[in-house]
Amino acid sequence: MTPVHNVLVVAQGTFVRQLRNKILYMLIIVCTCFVGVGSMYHILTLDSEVKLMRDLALAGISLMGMVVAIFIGSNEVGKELREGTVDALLSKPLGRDQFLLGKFVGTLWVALVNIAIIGVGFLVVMSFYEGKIWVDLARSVILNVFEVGVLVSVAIFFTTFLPEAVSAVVTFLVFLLGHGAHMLPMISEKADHMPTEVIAKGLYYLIPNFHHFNIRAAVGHELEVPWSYVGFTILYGLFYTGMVLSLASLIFRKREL
Amino acid sequence: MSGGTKETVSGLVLAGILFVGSVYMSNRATKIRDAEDLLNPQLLHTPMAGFEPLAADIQWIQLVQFMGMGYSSGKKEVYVDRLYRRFDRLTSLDPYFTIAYHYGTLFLSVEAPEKALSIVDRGLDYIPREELDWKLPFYGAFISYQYCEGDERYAKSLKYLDAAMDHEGYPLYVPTFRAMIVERKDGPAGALNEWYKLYQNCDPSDKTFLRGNVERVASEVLKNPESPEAKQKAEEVLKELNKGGEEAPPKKRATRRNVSET
Repeated sequence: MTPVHNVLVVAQGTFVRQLRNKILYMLIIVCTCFVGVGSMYHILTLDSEVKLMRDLALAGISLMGMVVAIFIGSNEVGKELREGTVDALLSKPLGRDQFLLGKFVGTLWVALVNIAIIGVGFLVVMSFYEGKIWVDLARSVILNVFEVGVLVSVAIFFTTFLPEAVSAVVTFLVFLLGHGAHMLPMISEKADHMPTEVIAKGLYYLIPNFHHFNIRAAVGHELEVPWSYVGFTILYGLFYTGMVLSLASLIFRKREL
Repeated sequence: MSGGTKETVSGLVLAGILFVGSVYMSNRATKIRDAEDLLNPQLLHTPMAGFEPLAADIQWIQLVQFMGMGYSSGKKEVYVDRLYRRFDRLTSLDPYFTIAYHYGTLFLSVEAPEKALSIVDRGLDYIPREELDWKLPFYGAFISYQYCEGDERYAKSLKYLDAAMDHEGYPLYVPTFRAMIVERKDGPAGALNEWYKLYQNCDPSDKTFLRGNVERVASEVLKNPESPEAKQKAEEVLKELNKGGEEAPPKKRATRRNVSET
């Protein structure tokens, strides 16, 4: 068995187990309903129902990704460690790195399927409502997938040394901080205190900058987001995910099971 | 070096390289974001973990109900203040919410014109050019003209009208309003060129109306000439009109450029 095959087997196991997770189905139904009743929003708003439909769909997709990343990402490795099933898995010719990577891919896979279901539902509703397929959505959804990738890697990183619940809470805090990371340079510029400047600047690069992945406002207003921006943000996501996963694997390798 | 130490060091080196890569990519993305004016993060005073657009929509729904209630049930000043603060919060959450700037300006224009003008200014600063049209700056011009006093009245109105005429598709009453303000500010001699240029560049259907204004302004200049040059100019304009200005081939609709050339 090649390492890639090992990773895919673990990922498939994770995906199949999550198919039995009823909470996910509920979330999909709720989000799809919000999108589905989009044509009724004109009752609530003044000339901006289309914007509301777009924002709600993009927020639904993002929320779905966040929930999957934080809860499944934190739960998957932690549960295996708590229940001791990881011993049985690692007694086979399976490296610890491959195990972590498999969990990462499996969780991302679950998130992708959920995002795809809501995204397709949204496209169908919008094509009925506006009479065209809304291609601009792609840019936002692509960045959302990479945002989920970063978040899953952070969740897995924390589960290698923290209990599941604590890991989920800390990952959620990182998610909140990451969305405010763009404000850190402003603090750094305005602070007259040297250590504050250095800490703010350091944290800016250390915390995942989720603001890069958030182009929902621009897409909601049908503003053109350059593909070069999307490209650099994807590369940022890949580098950051790689860094966090390699640190996670370093810690996991040292961990006593 | 033992195998374990080697693995740790190589893992740390890999993480370090990836971190440097992520810093580089982050800086590149930030540069593009700033250059493309992609929702400048400095505008967002109320971080909502990436859900700002949706929060703005919810705020808008509440605001529509609030506007619908009117101020029948409470003090007018309190209502106006609350309304302004709601618009302020909404445009902080989503600075691109064009329709909110429009309604905010219109709703506050009578009771709190200075607040309405601050919404116009904010809209002009933050709404991307492709989303902005002539209407919002025109509202600003109209509010300034109605409610400002002294020199500020004309200066502000002209500033907003210039901003309105920077956008395509504005109707004739925008440059006409500008010409009227110039006339009030600088007198008939100052406005003669403005009116005459409008007349030269307007659609055939508007010729009669604009010709009347040119003639009126020119006769006022001739009645009380401020200078020999002004008198000469008025005479020239009237001569041109009488020569057969009506039959002149219609030119393009007045635009910002040809009006400013005056």
